[in-house]
Amino acid sequence: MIFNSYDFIIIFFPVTILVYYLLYRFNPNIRIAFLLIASLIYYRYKNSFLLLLIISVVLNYLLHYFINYFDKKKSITLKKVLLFSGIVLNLSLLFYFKYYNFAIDTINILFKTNFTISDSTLPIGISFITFQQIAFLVDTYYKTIPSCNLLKYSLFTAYFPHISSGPIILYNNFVPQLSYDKKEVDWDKIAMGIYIFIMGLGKKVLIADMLAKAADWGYANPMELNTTTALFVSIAYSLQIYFDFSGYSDMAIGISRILQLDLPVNFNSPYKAETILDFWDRWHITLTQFLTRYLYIPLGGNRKGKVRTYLNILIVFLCSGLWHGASWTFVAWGALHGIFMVFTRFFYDYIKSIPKIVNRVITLLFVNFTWILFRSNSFTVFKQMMGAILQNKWGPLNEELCNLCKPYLAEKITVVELPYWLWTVAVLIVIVFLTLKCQNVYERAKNLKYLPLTMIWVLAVAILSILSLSGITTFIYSNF
Amino acid sequence: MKAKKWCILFVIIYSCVLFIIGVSVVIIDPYFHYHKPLSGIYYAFDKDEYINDGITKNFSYEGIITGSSTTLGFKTEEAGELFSQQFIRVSYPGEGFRKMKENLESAFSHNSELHTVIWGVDPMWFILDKDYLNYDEYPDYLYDDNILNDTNYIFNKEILMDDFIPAIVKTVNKVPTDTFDSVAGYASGSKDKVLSAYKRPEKENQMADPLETEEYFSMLEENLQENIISIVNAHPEVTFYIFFPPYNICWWDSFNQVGKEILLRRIDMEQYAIEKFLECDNIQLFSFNDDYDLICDLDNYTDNVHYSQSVSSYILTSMKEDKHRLTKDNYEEYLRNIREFYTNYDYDLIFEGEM
Repeated sequence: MIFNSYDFIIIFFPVTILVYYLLYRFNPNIRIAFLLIASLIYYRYKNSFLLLLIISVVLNYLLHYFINYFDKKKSITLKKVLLFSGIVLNLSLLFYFKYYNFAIDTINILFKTNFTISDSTLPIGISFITFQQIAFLVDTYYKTIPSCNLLKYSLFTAYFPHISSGPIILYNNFVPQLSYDKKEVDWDKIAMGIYIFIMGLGKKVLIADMLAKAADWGYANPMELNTTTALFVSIAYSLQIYFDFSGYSDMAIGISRILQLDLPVNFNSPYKAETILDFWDRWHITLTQFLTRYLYIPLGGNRKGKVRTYLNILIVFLCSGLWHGASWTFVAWGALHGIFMVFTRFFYDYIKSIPKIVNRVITLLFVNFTWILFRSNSFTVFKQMMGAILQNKWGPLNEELCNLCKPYLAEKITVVELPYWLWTVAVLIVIVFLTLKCQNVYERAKNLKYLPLTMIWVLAVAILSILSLSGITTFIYSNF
Repeated sequence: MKAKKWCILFVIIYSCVLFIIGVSVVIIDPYFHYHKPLSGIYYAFDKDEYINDGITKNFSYEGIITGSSTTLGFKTEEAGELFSQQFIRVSYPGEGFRKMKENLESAFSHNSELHTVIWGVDPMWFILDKDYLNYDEYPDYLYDDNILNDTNYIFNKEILMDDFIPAIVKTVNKVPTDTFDSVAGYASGSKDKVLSAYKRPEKENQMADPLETEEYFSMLEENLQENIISIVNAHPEVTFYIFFPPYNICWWDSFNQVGKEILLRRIDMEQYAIEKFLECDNIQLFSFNDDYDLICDLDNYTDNVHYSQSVSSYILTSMKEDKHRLTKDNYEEYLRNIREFYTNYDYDLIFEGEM
């Protein structure tokens, strides 16, 4: 199930909220148990890996239990063995489902072998689940997590708002909230949750999905693009990935706030970043924090001299690239970010002296350029896209692309004959303006005024988004 | 306003708006998913793939006209008068036999009054995988019986804007509703239309590859058995009027240009289909490929394969009057005649006076 689906919005979520608040005044364990059941139902829906999730949770919980047990017995070696086994176990699962085919493909290419690739599908959220379980075991090892019960741990892992796409949460940030024996409902939190959820839904359904049509079409036909269209496609994708991912994170955060729980903010206007360092403090914040805490710092962080620091940064970004997807294009994407990070840190004093606007433009251009690599499913497509951009063949925007991502309501305005590209370009400009100039959802949620106008705005976005979850297909009758 | 009041008001208004939208769509039901058309309301019959399942499940009828776009010109009232039954028309333009079979299965399971099926079996779709669907984006939420996914129908911006609101506006403006007959396609044809749409292949003299032929016949066998014969045999109480839509002389020319053997292979396939169909007692089989006046007169057509409404009407009347019917006694002679005619026809005559 995904948040932007009828099943979730019309059925699952309202029922979950209703039952949750009916149980709200009872013992916290009852609502924890209910949320866990709801989360398992959510995970099981159209996904056959529920058993894997349960086994993984139980195994990690047992590891946690025995790490604590051996800690009390002062058996440091056994503790280490258990931690190491836990990390290997979690990474093995991730490797098998996400990287096995990638590894086999690479071996087949390098050694001209013919090993068979697996046809297993990827369990939903496995990358996020793996990182959280590892963090949980490491925190247990370093005794920053008190011994916990299986119920709370299970909910921490399976909690439906974040299980499929994050934000990555840490045990100590989340589980203590479950234990509050609250009797009173915080309505401000619910109002803020509704606002954030609806805005996230709008970002995903009304903006990202529209931009996706342009990006999908462009990346499927890189050879047909002139420079103007190729640039448009690359910008559309940069915006799509932001509105898509941040919209989904907003929805997760909004849902949680409606449930009186806080999830960490994952995106903080990343395209307003002045440098690449700033960008990674704003983009997928929980991933950056995870990698910093559980990879960069254990590698030595910046404590072992400049060269090691730069090397550690590169390692972190290579891992980040690989985490994003099992392909060499993702690795290259991570490497480019790592190199630019190192470059920025090396020349940081000089870069700081450059006007902010110049830095912002450079950062934006770099990020946009690397998204091309990120979106390309092979280096060939990347080369074709870059070739299309650099060919210096300016011309009109492709008409098919403009028709694809023209706003639906624009099609209804037939009184005046407008150039075919006008709506598409106008919409892109508005979205760019929203991204670069306006406050983000959280900034606006903090100052939420309970005014009728706000209500109308939120209702309009909600209803329009829900009505846009489905469409009708034109059956192009061409073959007969 | 305080947060609590704001939240409660939001939930109430939000629920009411969705409720009103949902109930309105269910009541008007532009795709007939829940009920047959309401009297006095305008309905558009323009999205076959979206309305066909609703028509099949919720209309009252004893007879059904089905097939590809070659059945779009058939008028249900005319069929009703000829066969003294109430007919519906459920055409799947561009689609092979599988979709029609699935629709007929749905019809049989929802309507015990169904006695007659008029089915245009296109020779064009003989060589297809039995599971072939031309489109992979059918709206499953309309075709299945899962009420939960009906949300795709009742909360759908495009259905609201393109079908629901226009239906209301046209109803208010007293625009008469569409009917099967008012939207019947291909009102008239012309030779000019046909020839401007026809791209004549280069003249070749290809031989029929035996392996390819074997593969084609294997596909044909499965396709017919799985998608037509099986459903015919499952309903012996129903009469199936099956006809081969009469494609025009350009269609035959397109094979003749490739090679005589290729053309003859098409007729061999037709023979195979005829023999299969004639084994079923509840099939009445018709073919108009020996009506050369019809087939060679391009003014009857809009392109290679689509004929005008008058031809559709002629087919219906012929079926009722048992003309052009193939039986075990006459089909071999019919095949001899068409083999003779189509292999010896001077196809250049088609273009005479066109240069």
